[in-house]
Amino acid sequence: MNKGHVLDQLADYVLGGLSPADQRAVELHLSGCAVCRAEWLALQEAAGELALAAPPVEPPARLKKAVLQQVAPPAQRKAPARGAWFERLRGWQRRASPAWLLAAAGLILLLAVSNLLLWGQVRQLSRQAQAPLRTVALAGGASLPEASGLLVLTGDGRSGTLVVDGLPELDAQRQYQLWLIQDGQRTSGGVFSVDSWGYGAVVVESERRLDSFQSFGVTIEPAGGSPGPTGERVLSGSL
Amino acid sequence: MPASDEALLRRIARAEPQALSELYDRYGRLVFSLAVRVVGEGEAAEEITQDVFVQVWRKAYTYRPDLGRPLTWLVSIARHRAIDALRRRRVRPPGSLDGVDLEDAPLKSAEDQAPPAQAELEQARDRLRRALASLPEEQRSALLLAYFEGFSHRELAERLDQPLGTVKTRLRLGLQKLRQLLASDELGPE
Repeated sequence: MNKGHVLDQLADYVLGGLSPADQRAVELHLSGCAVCRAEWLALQEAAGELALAAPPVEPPARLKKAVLQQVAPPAQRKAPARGAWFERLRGWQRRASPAWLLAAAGLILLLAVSNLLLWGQVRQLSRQAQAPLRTVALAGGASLPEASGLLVLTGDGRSGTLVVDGLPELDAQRQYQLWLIQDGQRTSGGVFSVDSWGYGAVVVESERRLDSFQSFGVTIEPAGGSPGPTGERVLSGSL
Repeated sequence: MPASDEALLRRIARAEPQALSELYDRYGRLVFSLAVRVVGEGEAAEEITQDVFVQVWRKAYTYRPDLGRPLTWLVSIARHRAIDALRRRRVRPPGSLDGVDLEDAPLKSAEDQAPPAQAELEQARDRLRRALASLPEEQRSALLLAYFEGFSHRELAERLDQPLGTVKTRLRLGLQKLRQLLASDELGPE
């Protein structure tokens, strides 16, 4: 270590060779040191160039089409032919006996009544939730720049929902864990997994008001969670 | 005058599919090549490439110019995705350890076949090839294995049958020297 700098750890940090604790220490230092930050950025650029050492392989033409198809507005996406199922429905309607039609009518009536009841409940809940929602943005660290999260707190601050995006899917032995942080004390806010698209969500409940915590973090922990954070921190944010 | 990478990312953040199409034309081959190098040819490499560009589409607004060039950001996403897929599969592509030999990488032939739009990328590739060639063999091998195989430093030490401290030193010195070489004028045009 050089006069409190982390210059001699930066290469390991860029190549992902530090322990989670050392990684956190380096990230903390980088957030406030312009000297180490400049060196880190330069090393990161150099490491990024290594991708060019991969022998060039031409991707199949269908790959670009598949990418653009995924991001196309819904109207332009190839939808399954609708004529077929519509025709099947019309055929079923023509063939259905009067008893079936009567049962279907009863079901529709039942759904209509349920909808009215639910609508009443929604109005009641809306009146209860007068206070505005609060949100906390969580950002990915240097190792996961594309990851992000949003913690939405209810108006009364007693519960919330965390939605994350861009986190790698973990194996069955590991899960993500949310930490609620106040004066250095970390309380678990819930354990969750993400799907192959990196999406995940967890309902957050705490004995204390969630808006009384100063900051929030997400780490990788053994499946089921840990009493305190032990793994790599992948997301963090402050209220 | 083609749009800069930054400009393309800004347009992608505004949900312009044409900008993503242009970005793919520039870097689709690089991302696919990186994926193939890490997980081997096949469906997995295609899935990773597709996933990377869809991620770019969804996350372009999070790109921060002060944290590096767009290409570095893109490659960082691609490497993380590929290494993650590799670790999930726990299977190494056949001959992966042999892949660190620069002689195996058909860099020159690819340069000859490259379309004009790829010229800048090919120049960077050529600079990297020469920078890597100037590194001591043990530093070059350690760097490429760490980057493409996703080995932790401890796994790398076992693979190379070297003490952990030695491997860490090789990686650190190798990356620092690579950074100096790429930043200097020593690697001008051949």
